[in-house]
Amino acid sequence: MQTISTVKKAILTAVCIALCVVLPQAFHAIPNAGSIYLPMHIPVLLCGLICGWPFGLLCGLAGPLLSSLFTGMPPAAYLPPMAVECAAYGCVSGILTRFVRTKNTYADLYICLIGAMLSGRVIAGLARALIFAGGSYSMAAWATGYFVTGLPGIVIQLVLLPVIVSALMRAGLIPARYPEVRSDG
Amino acid sequence: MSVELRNVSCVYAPGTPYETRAVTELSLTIRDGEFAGVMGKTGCGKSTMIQLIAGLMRPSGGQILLDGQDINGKNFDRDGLRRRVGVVFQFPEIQLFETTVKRDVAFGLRHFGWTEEEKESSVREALERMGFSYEAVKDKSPLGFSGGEKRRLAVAGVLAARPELLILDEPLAGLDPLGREALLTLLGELNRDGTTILMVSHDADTLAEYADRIILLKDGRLFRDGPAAEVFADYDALKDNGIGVCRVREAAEALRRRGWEIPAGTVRYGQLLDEIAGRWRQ
Amino acid sequence: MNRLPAGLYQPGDSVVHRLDAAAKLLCLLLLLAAVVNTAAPAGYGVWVLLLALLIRLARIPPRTALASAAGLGWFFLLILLMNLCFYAPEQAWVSVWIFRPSSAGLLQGLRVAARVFLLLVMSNVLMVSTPPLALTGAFERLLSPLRFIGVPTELAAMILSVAIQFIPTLLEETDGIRKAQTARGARFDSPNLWEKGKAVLPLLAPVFVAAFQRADELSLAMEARGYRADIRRGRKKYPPFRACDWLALSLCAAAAVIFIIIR
Repeated sequence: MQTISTVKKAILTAVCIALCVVLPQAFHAIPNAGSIYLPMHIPVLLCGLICGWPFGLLCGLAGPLLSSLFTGMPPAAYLPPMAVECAAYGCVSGILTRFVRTKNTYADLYICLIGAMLSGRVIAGLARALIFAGGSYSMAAWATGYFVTGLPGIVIQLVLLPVIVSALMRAGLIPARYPEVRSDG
Repeated sequence: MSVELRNVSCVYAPGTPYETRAVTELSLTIRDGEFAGVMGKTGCGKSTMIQLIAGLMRPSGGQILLDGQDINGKNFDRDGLRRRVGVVFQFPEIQLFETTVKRDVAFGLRHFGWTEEEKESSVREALERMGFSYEAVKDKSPLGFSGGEKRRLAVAGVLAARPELLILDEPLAGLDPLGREALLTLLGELNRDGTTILMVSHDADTLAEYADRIILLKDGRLFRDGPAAEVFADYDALKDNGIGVCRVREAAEALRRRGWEIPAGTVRYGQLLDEIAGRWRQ
Repeated sequence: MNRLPAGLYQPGDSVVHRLDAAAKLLCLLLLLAAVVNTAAPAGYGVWVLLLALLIRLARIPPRTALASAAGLGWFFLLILLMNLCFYAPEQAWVSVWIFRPSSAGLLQGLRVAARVFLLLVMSNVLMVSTPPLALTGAFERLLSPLRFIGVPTELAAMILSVAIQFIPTLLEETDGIRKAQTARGARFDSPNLWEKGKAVLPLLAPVFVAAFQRADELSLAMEARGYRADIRRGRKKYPPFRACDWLALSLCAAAAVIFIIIR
């Protein structure tokens, strides 16, 4: 697999952070899309997948922060739990993408995504329960919040991300994960 | 398709410190089959105007009528509007996203209720009009083409819907001379076949050559409106307002200042040559 | 995007506006710590008064200051109900299925709601009175000691500043793509879940391709000019805190100490 230079990883991370600010604004124009599509998660997951865990982690922390500063969304009180959640997505997707190697780009992608989405939700739930809400947050509320209202978001992200990754590969903007598989097919 | 703006205004972020008036009390009519050019400095309201006409923004006041029907009226057929009005935005190549050229060019047709054969023939025609061989490109990924080719693919994606009104925002930006020539020739052909064309450009030379009429905006208001010969005739007023005229008009003005009797309405290259040749013979 | 959301910077010239952004951020953290540690209902009364004073000092219209909390009525109600029903089940008045409302729960609910309200309004005052660029600079400044434990803070700071520069360009580009696809007949909404995902692809895929293209161009240009991510550059010099910054910090620190001791 071709590697990406650190400078390029840094700039890609910057762009993903900027997208964390931009996408929720763009989805604003579509009726109640923000809560269903979770548009901020997409660049964070992608950043982890492409640039690795340290960059994914930074993207997850900085994306919601800049969005809050520049657009007022999320409001500052929601910021810490959201930043922890996004940081977990970026970090876990970066770690998984390094170790999961099934020789099939899309199988890898789905495994990394599902792993990152589940562990991100668990970590965020724990962080919320332990730190941010100091006992006022119950297990039931966490489960409802993340798995029931967030389920459409999970499904949609599983539809979207592989297509976006494939578009980026076709445009020659990110290296193919398994070049030999591509040339065979 | 005819377009009529009646007293149209558009304000961004009203009631905040960031309030901006993009367009103010704009009234004008573009007749069916016309090739109209829109000019003006950055921030003069050109982009807002075309977005209002394409129904992508709502005006804060006034009415926009296409073929006499208010596009923001209650019973207006918005889906029909999308089909009948095609918009080529600045750097349209950015809008390509599908897995194959065929799918991308056909993207706009999916809600029209056309049959597969109708779609295919329309896609084929649009691609061939833009200089591609349908069979050669239809299954390739649109993202793998070069910049100029992507631009042509994107324009094909707009033409495939066979719009009655074609709006273009700086379609020539970044094209090489051959690409410009080819696109302008195509626009001329479409216009002859009855498509109304509204082209935004800062390129006065091109508009003077190709457009029947020039709409000149300044600070969100209509500044001049008429055939290029008429609009550019008022050389001093345009210069005073920092608006550039076409080079032919510049040359004509330079000659006039040296005592040549060249009409102020000389805006096309051929016209200027005729005038000079005429004076020379005398 | 014709509407401005709450919490957006509004230029001004008050004492609060003129404070150093890093000092303000530290003040906010101190105040937040104090608010979270306030237990007595009377304490919250004092906080509301202090907050009113702060808003007055910053010369922010009260409507703007409260905007961030105003839209969240349903959320406060939810906090209240959750705590009312689940907080202290052993002291419940009645027991209906899993719901065990209690007066301790009601009190806790009010407390949490008041806390969230205060946090929201305080952070909002900070954001409304400080330019976003100054705030990100303040974050960089406060996080710069992390380099002693091996975190590449300079690289992170570079990434952040590049990200900020990209925001306006990408916003414009995204809006342009949305309009271009709308004009082509795209519909971004669909009742079917699977279709819903695909409906936004005409928007998302080009946005990512365009953004990554820009990243590609910029990183090539940077590498061509000899930029290397692993070279240590000179550390940024930050202006020292002025007397008013120190005053604000000590006032907030004092408030924090008092509230944490008294609770």
